[in-house]
Amino acid sequence: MLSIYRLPGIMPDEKIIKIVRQSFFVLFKKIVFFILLGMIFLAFLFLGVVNYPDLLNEPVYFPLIVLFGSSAYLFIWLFFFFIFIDYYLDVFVITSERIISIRQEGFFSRIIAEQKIERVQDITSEVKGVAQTIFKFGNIYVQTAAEQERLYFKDISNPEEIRDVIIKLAETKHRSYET
Amino acid sequence: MAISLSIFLYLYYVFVALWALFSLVGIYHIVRFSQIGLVSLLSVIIYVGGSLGILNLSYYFLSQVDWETPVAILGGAFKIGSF
Repeated sequence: MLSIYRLPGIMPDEKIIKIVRQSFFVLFKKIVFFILLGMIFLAFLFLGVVNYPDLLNEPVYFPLIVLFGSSAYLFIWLFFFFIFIDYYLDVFVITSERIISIRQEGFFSRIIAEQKIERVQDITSEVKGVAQTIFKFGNIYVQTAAEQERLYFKDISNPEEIRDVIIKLAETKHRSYET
Repeated sequence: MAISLSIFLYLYYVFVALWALFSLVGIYHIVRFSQIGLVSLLSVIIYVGGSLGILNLSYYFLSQVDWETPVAILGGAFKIGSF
C-alpha cells in the first residue's frame, strides 16, 4: 500500500506526492488508555494479594484468577495491536493523479475511496479545539465535481499543509488541460 | 453439584484459540496491506513477543495447578477454602 507497486489501479507516470497518516497524538491517547487499563487491573490484583495473602495458595480461586488475568491481558494486548493496525493502515495517499483514502475499519472491513486531482473543486481543512491547535492536527474535506460523497480524513497532521499541496496539484492539473 | 476445575481450563483454551485467530488476522493485515519495512516488522515482532510473554507467564502459574480439584457450584456456590 505504501509502495507505488501496491497502489490500487496505478496509472502510467503516477507519482506519490505525499502519504499522510493520523496524528501520532491520536495513537498516543489510545496507548495511554490501554496502559491505564492494564495498570488498573494489576492494581486490583495487587490489592487482592495484599488483603488476602492466602489467595496464592487457594486451590480454586488462584487458578481462576490466573485464567481470568491471562485472558484479560491477552485481550488488552490484541485490542492494542488492532488500534495500532487501524492507525498504521489508515492512510491518505496524494499522488500526481489522484487522492486515495484507505481506511481500515474493525477486523475485516477495509474501505478505499479515490478522486482524481483534476476533479477537486473545494478543499477544506479544519483545526478545532486546544489539542488540535497545540499538536497541529485536524480534518480535511475534499469536495469534487462528482456528485459523490466528499472525501474526509480525520485527525491528520498539518492539515493546512496538505490542503496547500492538493490545491497546488489541482491548479497545475487544470493549467495543463488549458494549454 | 461439583465440576472439575479443568472445565475452566478448557474454556480458557477456547478463548486462546479465538484470540490466536484474531491475532493471525491482524498479522495478515500488516503483511498484506503495508509495506514490508522496519515498522511493520517491528510491530509484528513486538506483538508476538508480548503475546509469548503473557502466555509463558500464564503457563508458569497454571502448570502448578491441580486441575482435578472439584469446584462446588450449586449449593456450595464456589467452594472456598480459606475465605
